[in-house]
Amino acid sequence: MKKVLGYLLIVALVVGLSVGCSPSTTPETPPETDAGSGERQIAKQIVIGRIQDSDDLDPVTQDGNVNIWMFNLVLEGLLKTNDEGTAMEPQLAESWKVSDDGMTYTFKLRPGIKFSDGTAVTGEDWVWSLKRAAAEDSTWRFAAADIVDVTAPDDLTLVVTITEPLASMEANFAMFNMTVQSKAYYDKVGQEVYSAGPIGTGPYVFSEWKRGEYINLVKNAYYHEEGLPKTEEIKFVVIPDDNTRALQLEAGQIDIATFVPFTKMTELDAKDNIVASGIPSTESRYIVLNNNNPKFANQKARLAFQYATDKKQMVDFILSGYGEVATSYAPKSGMFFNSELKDYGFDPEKAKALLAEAGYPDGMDVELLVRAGNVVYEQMAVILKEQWAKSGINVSILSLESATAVQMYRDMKHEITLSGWTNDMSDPSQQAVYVFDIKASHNYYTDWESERAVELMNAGVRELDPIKREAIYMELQQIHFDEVPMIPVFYSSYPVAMSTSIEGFVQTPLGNYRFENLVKYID
Amino acid sequence: MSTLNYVIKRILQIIPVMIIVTVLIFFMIRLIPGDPVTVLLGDKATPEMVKLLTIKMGLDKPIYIQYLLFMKGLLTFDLGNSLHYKIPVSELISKRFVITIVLTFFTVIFSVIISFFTGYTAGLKKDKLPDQIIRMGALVALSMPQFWVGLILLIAFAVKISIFPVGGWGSTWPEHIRAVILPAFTQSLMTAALLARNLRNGVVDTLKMDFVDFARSKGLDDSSIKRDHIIRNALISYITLLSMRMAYMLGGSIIIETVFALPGIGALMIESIYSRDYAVIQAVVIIFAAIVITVNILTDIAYSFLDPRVTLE
Repeated sequence: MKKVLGYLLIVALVVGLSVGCSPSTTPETPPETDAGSGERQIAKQIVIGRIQDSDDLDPVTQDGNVNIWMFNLVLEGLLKTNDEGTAMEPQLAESWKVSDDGMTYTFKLRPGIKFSDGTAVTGEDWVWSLKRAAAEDSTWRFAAADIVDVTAPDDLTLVVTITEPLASMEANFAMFNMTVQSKAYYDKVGQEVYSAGPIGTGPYVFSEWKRGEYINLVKNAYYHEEGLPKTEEIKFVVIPDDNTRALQLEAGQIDIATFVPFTKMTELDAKDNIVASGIPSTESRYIVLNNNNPKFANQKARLAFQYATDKKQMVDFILSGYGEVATSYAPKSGMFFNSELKDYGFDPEKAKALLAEAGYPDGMDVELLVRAGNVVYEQMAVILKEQWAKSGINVSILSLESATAVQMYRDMKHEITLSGWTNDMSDPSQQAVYVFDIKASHNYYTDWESERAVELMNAGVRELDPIKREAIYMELQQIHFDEVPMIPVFYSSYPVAMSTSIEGFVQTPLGNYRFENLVKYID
Repeated sequence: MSTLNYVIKRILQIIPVMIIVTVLIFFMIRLIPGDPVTVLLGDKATPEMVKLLTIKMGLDKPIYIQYLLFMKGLLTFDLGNSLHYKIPVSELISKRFVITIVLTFFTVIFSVIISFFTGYTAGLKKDKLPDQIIRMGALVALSMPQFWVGLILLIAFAVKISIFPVGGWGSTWPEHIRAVILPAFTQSLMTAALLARNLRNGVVDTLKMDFVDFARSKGLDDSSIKRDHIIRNALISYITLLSMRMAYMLGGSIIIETVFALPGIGALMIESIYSRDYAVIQAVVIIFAAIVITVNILTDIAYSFLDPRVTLE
C-alpha cells in the first residue's frame, strides 16, 4: 500500500512540475512586421472577451445582439449607418435614385466586389439575399416586409420596389439582414452549416466556431478596400463570469473586454496598461408600469414615480457615471431626439402630493418584478426600493429567473418591472412601433394607449419631408413624456475596457463592431 | 455470482430507472414557465412571431406526441438538435463532456491525495496537534464558497504570478492540463475536507477494534498492520463517500466552469436551462443519470474487492 501511495505522489509531483514549469501564458501574438518603413509593429491576432456566445450566425434566422453586432464585420449591404449611428451612407451601392412616386429604388452597384471565397457578387445574389430576408419568419422581417419585388437587370444594377413611400426605407437597407450573401454557398452547404456563418463581402470571414468557447474571424483576402483590415485575426472568446473576464484583461490573456461591470470600470481604468471607456450607445433602461393596474390608471400616480426616482443617483451608483439621465423613451444618440424635454427631477414631496391627489394619501404598496442574474436590473431594484420609500412607496421585490420573469411580463402579470431597449437601426420608426403599437409588445408591457400617438406613428414612417418628420417624432416623445406610461431612467453606454496598446476600436451606438482599423501595437 | 453476471444484472435493473428519469425530466422542463421560442426571439418578438416559430419548431404539438417523438429518437441514439444552437445535441455535448470528465478526474485525484494523507495522519495521531490542525483545516475548506476560492486562486496564481492561465481551456493538451489544475484544486477542497474527516474517523474506529490488538500481539509490525488491516477497513466508508461526491462534482462543476471559463457540461447545462433548450437539458440529464448509476455499480464492485465478506448478488 505504501508503495502505491508513493508512486501516486511521484506522479503528482511530476505532473505538477512539468505543468507548472512551462512558460507562462502569453497571448498568441507572434509579431508580424508591417510592410513599410517607420510603421509600428502590430499583432497578428486580437482577442476579445465577451459574456456570451453567439447562437446562430445566419443574419436572417437569428435573433440577438450576440450575433448581430458581429455581422458588420462579415456582411455588407447597399447602405450602412455611419460610425456615429446618425445617418445612412452608401456601402456596396455606389449611388441610387428614387422614383418620383417614392416606390422604386434603383441602385448602381460598385463593380468588382467579391465574396470572401473569391466568387464575384452577382445580381442573383442580391435578389436572393433580399428576398430571403423578406420571406424568413424572423423578428427582423420588418426591414424587408414592404418590398414588393427585387430585380437585377444586370450585375451592377438593382431595382427594388416597395408598397408605399417610406421614410425608413434607407435605414431598412442598412439592416444586417439586408446584406448580400452568397447564394451558391447557401445552396452548397444547407441551412445547418449556414447558421455557423454565412459568406459575405466584409473585411472579415467567420473561420472557426467552437460553441461556448470562441469564434475566430480571419481577414477577407478578397476585401475591396486596399490594405484593410489591418489585423489578420480577431478571436471572440466566451468568458461568462464578469470577474474572470476582467482578470483575463489584466493578465493580458485577452486584449479587449466587453460588458465590463460598471462598478469595475474605474478600477480597471486606473491600471497603467488598461483604458476603460463608455462607448456611446442607444441602450436605455425603463421602469415599466402595468397601466392595467388600478394603482397606475391615473396619470398623476404615474407621474409621482418620476418624482420619486433619483435618476442621477442611479447613474452614479449603477453606471459609475458611465451614462446619462434619461428623459425621452428614445435614446439620446438616435435620430430626432427631443432635447427640449427636461428631467422632472427628484422631489419626494411632490411625489407624495401627486399620490395623494391620485387617491393614495398614505402612500402605495407595489411589487417590482426583476430578472435575476442581470446585475443592472438587480441594482436598480434595490436602489429604487430605497428611493421610493422616501415618497411613501413601499416596494416588495420579486426576483425571478430570467425566462420566467419574461414570461410573466409578456403575459402582463406584473405590477412594475424593469426593461430596456437598444436600437437596431438608426431610424426612430423601429422603436416607435414597440412604444405605440399595442399589438407589438403591449406598448412596452404597459398596455397604455393613445390614438393620437398611433396616428403619428403611422404618419412618421411615411413622412418623407425631414422637417415634418422631425416634428412628428418630437410630438410623439412629448406625448409619452407627459403621459408617463413608463419611466425612462438612464441611457447607458457600452462598457468596454482594453489594453492601452489597442487602437481603432469602433462600436456604433447600435452596437455593431467596426474593426477595419483595429490594431494592437506590440512595440 | 461472477462480476460479469453481476454487471449485466445491474444494467438490466437500470432500464426502468432511466425510463423514469426521461419521463420526469421531459415533463418537468416543459411545465415550468418560459419557453425556448420567446428566449430565442428575444425581447423584440411580437406575439405573432412567437406563434409562428413555435409551430415551425413543432413545439405546439400535444405534449405526449412530443414525448413519443423524443423516445423514438432516443432509441436510435438520436438526441435531436439543440433548440438554441441548431446543431445536433451530440455534437454540442461531446467536446464539452471531455472537458468536464477531465476536470472531474483531476478533482478526484486532488481530493484523494489531499484527504488520504491528512485523514490518515489525523486518525493515527488522534487529538494530538496534527489532528487538531487537520480538522480545523477541513472545517475552513468546507466553509469557503467555491467561486470565492476560485477567484482568489486566479488572482494569486494566474494574474499576480502567471503560473496558470486566467481560466479558459487552451488549445493543446499540455495547455488543457495546465488550465484544469486550479479549477480541479478549487473543486476538490470541499470533497477533500469531507473525505479527510471520514477517513480519520474510519481509522480511529478501526484502531479501537480487537483484531488490531490481536495482530500486534501476534507480532506483526506496525506497517503491515496499517497496510493490511487498518486502511482496508477504513476505506469502505471512504469509497462510498467518494462515489457520492463524484456525482455531486458533476453538478457542482457548473460554478467552477463559470468562474474558470471552462466550456464544460455544467456550463452548458446552466445555459440550456436559461434558454429552455429542451433537447440539450434532456440529453445532459440523461447522461448525468447514466454516469451516476455507473459510478454506483463500480463502487459496489470495488467493495467486493476491498471486503471479502461482501459478495456480489
